[in-house]
Order: sequence, then C-alpha cells, then structure tokens
Amino acid sequence: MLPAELFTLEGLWFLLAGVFLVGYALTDGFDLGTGVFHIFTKDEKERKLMMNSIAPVWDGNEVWLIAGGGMLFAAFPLVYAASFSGFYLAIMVVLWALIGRAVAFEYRNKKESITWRKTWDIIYWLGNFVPALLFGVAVGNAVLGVPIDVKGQYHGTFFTLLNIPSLLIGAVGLFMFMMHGAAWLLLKTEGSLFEKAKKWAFISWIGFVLLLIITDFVLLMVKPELYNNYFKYPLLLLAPAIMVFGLIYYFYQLQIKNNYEKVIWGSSLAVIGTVLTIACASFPVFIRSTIDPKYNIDIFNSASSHLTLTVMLIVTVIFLPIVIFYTSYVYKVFKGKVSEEEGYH
Amino acid sequence: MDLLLLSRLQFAATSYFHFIFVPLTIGLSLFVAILKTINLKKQDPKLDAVARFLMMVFAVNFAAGVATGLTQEFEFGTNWFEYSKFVGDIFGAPLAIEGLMAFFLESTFMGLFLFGEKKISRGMHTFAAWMVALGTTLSALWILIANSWMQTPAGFKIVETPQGTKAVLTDFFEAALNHTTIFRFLHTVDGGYITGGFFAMGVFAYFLLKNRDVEFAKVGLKYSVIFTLIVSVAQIIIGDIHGYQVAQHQPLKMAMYEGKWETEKGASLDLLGVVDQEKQTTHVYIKIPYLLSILAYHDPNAEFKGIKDLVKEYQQKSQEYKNQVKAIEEKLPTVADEAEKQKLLDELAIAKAKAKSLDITMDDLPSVGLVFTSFHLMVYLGFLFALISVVAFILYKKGTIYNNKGFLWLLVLSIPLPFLASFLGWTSTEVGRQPWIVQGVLKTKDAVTIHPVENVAFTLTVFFLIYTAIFIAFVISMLKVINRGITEYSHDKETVPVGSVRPQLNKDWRV
Repeated sequence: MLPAELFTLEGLWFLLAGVFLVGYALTDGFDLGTGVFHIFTKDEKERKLMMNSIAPVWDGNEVWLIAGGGMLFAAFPLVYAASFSGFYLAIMVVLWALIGRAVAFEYRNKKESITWRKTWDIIYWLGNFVPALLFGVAVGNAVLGVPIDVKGQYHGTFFTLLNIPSLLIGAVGLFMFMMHGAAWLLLKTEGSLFEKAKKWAFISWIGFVLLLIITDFVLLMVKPELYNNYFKYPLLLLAPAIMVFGLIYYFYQLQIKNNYEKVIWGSSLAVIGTVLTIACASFPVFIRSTIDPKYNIDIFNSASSHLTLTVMLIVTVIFLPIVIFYTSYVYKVFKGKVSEEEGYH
Repeated sequence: MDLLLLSRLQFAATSYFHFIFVPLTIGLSLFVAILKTINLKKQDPKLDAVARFLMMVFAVNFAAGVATGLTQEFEFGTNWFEYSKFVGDIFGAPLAIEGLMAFFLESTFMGLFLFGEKKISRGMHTFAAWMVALGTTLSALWILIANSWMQTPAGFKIVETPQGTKAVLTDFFEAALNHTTIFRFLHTVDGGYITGGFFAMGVFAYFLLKNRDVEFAKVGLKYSVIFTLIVSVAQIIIGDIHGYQVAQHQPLKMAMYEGKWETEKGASLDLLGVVDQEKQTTHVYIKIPYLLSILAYHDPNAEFKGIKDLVKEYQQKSQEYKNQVKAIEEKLPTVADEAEKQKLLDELAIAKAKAKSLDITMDDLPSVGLVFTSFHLMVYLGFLFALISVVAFILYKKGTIYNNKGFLWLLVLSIPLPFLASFLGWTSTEVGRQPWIVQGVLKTKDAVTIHPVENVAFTLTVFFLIYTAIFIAFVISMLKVINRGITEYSHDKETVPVGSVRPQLNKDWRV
C-alpha cells in the first residue's frame, strides 16, 4: 500500500521534514502572497492594510523556514550541506530578499519621507516575490536532478539551476502563494481592498491551474520516473487529490457561494496537497544526481545516526504541539478584520 | 584572495554584524519584562511609559536581529560544506532545537507583545514579555551549546562513510553539556544584560541632559542603574570561572590569550604587552608575578604551558596517531571476527582524523597578537563596566546622579562599549580556537565549501553593501524612535492606545 521505506526512522523524518515544509508554505505562504500583491495597488492605505494584516504573525511564520533548515541540518546533514552549497548563489539571493523583507516591515514607517517609503516598498516587494518564485525553482532542481558527485559536491553553475522545468515549478509555487495570499486578504480586509482581493484570488487561481497542467505535461516528458511512485503505490494519489479538492473548494467558495471567509480553507488544502504531491513523487530521494543515479541523495545515505534522529524525534514530539498551541492562541487574539491602526509605525 | 580567507571573512563579517543586535535583544527583553512585572503591582504610569518606550526601541533592534539571523542559520551549509557533513549529526541538533524551542517562542510572542497590548490583559502582556525574554535566552543557550561543542567537543565518535568522514553522536547530554557550555552561556548572556543595561542608562541619561521627559527618564535611569549593577558585578565572577575552564580544556587558546610563548612555572599575569609573532615573543610592560598560575590553576607555583611546547605536544600526539593508523592497517587483514573488525575500523577512523587534525606547526597559528590584545581589552572593559555601574549606584543612592552632567555624559558615551566588549570576546575565542574549526578534531581549512573564488567574493561584497544599508536604516530608525520621546508612550497623553499607529504622525505623508 505504502512504500516500505516510509516505515523506518529515516522515513518518519522525511515525513517530519514534510511537516515543516507544509508549516512554512501554509503560514509564511500567505505572507509572501500578500507581499507579492503589494505593488498591485498604488493606494498607500491599502498597502498599509495589507502589511498590517500580517504584521503580528509574519515573523513567527518565517520561523518555520529557519526551524526547517535546522531540522534538515540535524536529520539529513548531507541534504543541508549539498543543497545549500550547491545552490549557493540562489540561496544567497533568497536570503538577501528575506533579510530585506524583515527589515522593511519595521523600518518602512519610521520616517515621514516619500523616497524612504518608496525605497522600502521596492525592497519589500522583492523580499516577497523573489523567495516566492525561487523556493519552487529550488524544489524543482532537487527533484529533477542536479550535477552532484558521490560526496554531494555540486558541479554546475548558477545558470544550471535556471532550466525551464524548474522555472515552471517555481512559477507554480509563486501562483500558489499568491492564491493563498489573496485568500488571506479576503479573510482579513474590508472595503476597496477586499474588492481587489476578490479579483486577485480569481486571477491567481486561474494562473495556478493553468501552470499546473502545463508543468504536469512537461514533467511527464522530461522526468517520467517522477510518476513511478504513484503507479506503484496508488494510495499516494491522495496527495494530488487533496490538492484538486482544495482547488475546487477555493473556486466554489469564491465564485459560486461567495463565502469569502472560507476561501482560505481551499488554498490551505491546495498548499498542503501540492507540497505532499511533490514529496510523494520524489520519495525516498531528496536530491537527484544527473551524473549518476547512484549518487542520488536519499533519506538513507544522508540521514544522521539513529541516536540523533531519536533525540530529535523526542524533542519534536514534545515541542511541536506546544508551538502549535501558542501559535493558534496568537492567531485567535488577532482574529477578525484588520484596521489601519494596528501595525508597524 | 584565497577561498578560505574569503569564506572566513564572510562568516566573521555576517556574525559580527548579527551580534550588534543580539546582546541588546537579550538585555532589553529581560529588562522590559522585569519592568513590566514590577509595574503589575505598582501601576506607575511613568514606569508604564518607560517600559513601552523601551519596547519600541527593542522592536527596532529585534527586526535587524531577525533579518541578519537568517544568514546564520544557512551559512554553515552554504560556505562550510565539509564542516556541515562532518558535524551535522551533532551540530545540527542544537540548531534545530533552537528553532523549535526558542525562535518560535520569541517571534510569536513578539508579535503578541508588540501589536496585542489592547487586545489582551495586562497580565497576559507581561507574560508575553517574559516569553520573548525566555525565547532569546533559550536561543542563546542552544547556539552556545553548538559553539561550545566546537570549542570542547565531547560525546561523539568518528566514522567513515562513502560521503566522507563524519562525527557521530554517542551521548547527547555529554555533547550538549560539554566542559565549557554552562559558563560560556552565562558569560555571553550576562554580556547581553550588560549591553542592555548600559544602553538603557545611556538613553535615559541623554533625556536628562536634554532636559526632556525628565520625570520619566529619572524613573528609567533608576531601574537601569540597579539592573546594570547586578549584571556587571556578576560578570566578574562568571568571567573568571569561564576563563578557568578554558585554561583546563583549551590550553593552546589560553596560552594565546596570555601571550605566553614559553612554559612558565609560577606564571605572571601580563597586563600590558605587545606580541611579536615573527620572533615568537611578547614584550611585556606591566606584569603581576604568580597571578596567572593562581587564576588558571588555583596554585601560585603551577606550570603554565607555553605556545611552543603545546604545538610540539600536538605534533607528538599526531605522530602517535599516525603510528596507530599504520599498526591498525597492518592488523586489519588478519582479523576475521566481524565485531572485532568493526571495533578496529572505528579506532582507525578516529586515529586518522586525529593524526590529520593534530598535525599543526607554528605556521598554522592565528595572529597571537590579535587574540592576546582582544582578550585583554575585553577583560579591562569588563572591569570598567563594574566600576561605572558601582559609581552610578552610589551617585543614585546619594541622589546626585540626575544632575551630574559629567557622569551622565559618561553614561551616554559608554553605550557602544559593551558592544565592543562582545566583539572582542568573540574575536579572542574564535580566532583563539584556530587552526581548528572543531578543536582537535577538524581543521578550519578542511571544512570549507569549494566554491569559485569570485562567487564568494561577490556574495561577501553584497553582504557588505546590504548590511551597511541595514545599519544606516537601523540607526536612523532608532534615533527616530528615541527622539519621539518617552511621554509619547504615556496613556495620559494619548487617546489611541499605544502598540498601535499614531495617526497624527502619519497623516501628513500619506498619499
């Protein structure tokens, strides 16, 4: 029914890595999406509202990425080392963008000057757009394969990473985040911005669906082996099913029922389904080698010792529920439509 | 420029820059939480405004800390590929736990603390402040556990895999709580408290000098003086114990701290000197006989090993391990029993790694002058902090501190000094660990990622530009927040509850 490798300590950690990836895409995903829409409106009040809607939570959301990076380092050091050094310039660009975003939140409104604010607006937008696009490109390269040798050393350049299939996966990710961000705005805002968010939600939904279909065909042509797991273990088809259901639900609540506060449930399912779909396709490999499939980095040759995995499992089982508990509490405190007054100043 | 130097420069530059914000975050988060707790009972509106004012200052600092901290999490992988592979089994865990236990806590409650004041009760808001303080402290704990393992590694064995040699965890608690963890942690965190205390004292002194928000500044100064006194005096004790531990477990680093090239019995403590690395000697101008032996070994006649002898000892040990490697390799083909064979292979892996990493010469040493000077300056600054805070406390008790312009200026000008002390401390401890990245196990030069040199040169340049820009924006924003004044944060003055935007400030530039 399911791959036997999944029922090992390493397999369990692959799942946990997936939990962190989903946690990140689900939470910081709508931050990134909201940020991409920053330049879709020229109205300062609307821009401010969008930033205010995520002001109390974006920082905690971003921790999913940092903690996920740490988890990867602890559980699968070779994946951490090979991907971060291999994708060096790409990772650096993402880092710089995220640094810019973090600083822009706090400093944008500190000075009453148009130039100051406009500069931060550009930094802020890049800080959302670049990661939203490049996360997918990185995932694409990992599953499609990069030139790595037996020791995990990367032998390509920055431009090796900018291949069309990976860029397509990047674009899918970008539209996924936008779809999720628009749904967040539908939940948190009112008035003119709310009206705009309806349009943005619809456009990004269309974009996502179209790109998904195109990417699917391209992947079928360039890397058919990515579909093997689904033929071998049909139960895994649940993952794309969740994605498709989420997409239908999103469209249904947005266009037919006009129940806008529920749209985010659709995008949340779509995000979870999309991440899981990629993970199921790639399992048990993290990074494919284009030099020789023997050099593929999988959950076994990259994993830490069982002692480390066990210690980390205990820590995670204790602390992850606590994290989810207080995070939910804070989301509850900030529930409801956001006002212009609640944000950075 | 060579790759190793550039990679080290990039790590050093980004870490130093990150550490502008870290100590202030550690110090201010605790100080604000204490003030808020005191005021739960006192309900003093002035103290309320002071706490809220410091919270805004803290927020400006926190943002830059978060932004630059991102780099730190990923830099091991990007630039220290061999290191990450070698130590990932051990070093990754504290980093991951830091994220899970500390970053979520501080970031999530920071959002609640900054934006939730009017949505939650006073008690809950104070609780949020404590959770932020706890988060920053836990973060310091886990990253220092990681760093401490690099300084005095424990609880591991070495194995060989097709992907390369690596260290594997054998005992989690031994690795985490290795010989120097606890006091390294206390020393660093207390350094943060001192930084926060001096920052607060300086800012409130500035208001008094400007004759602005005087009644508020007096309240703020009072509490910051008491806070700073406690943490500055504590550091003298903590620092002494930490130094003693370094002497026990990192003798080469200790010898560099003290600039001792030759082994001495009843070693003197050299207070002022200049290191001449080429001639392998230190010109000493002021010294106190026997004191170093007393401090390092609690015995006036104890032998203090010099750099030259220590390097020779490492050479000898390396040779011993090389012999052992030969012996094991000869023995291996004759062993049939699988269990015994595995045991021999384990021994072989350790012997190989040790033979390689302990093979050092005088040429591998870092700049001893840099280690010696930064260590000495840090210690002097530590004593200066204790002195200033004691004087401040006496003047406060006398009630004359508020009008003593000279002393208030001294407090303002002292703001950068604890930052400087942190930089000096990290310089001495990190440069002093060279030539190793993991003391006695892995050399720094064997840990780096092989990138095209121009790639690292490029990223280093971009980091330099971005971080300079962030620093300028940070200073501008910080000055803006400070110059808004403390009364701005008093409920008496405002109709809009604070923790939210002041529309009157933004109206004129909203498009």
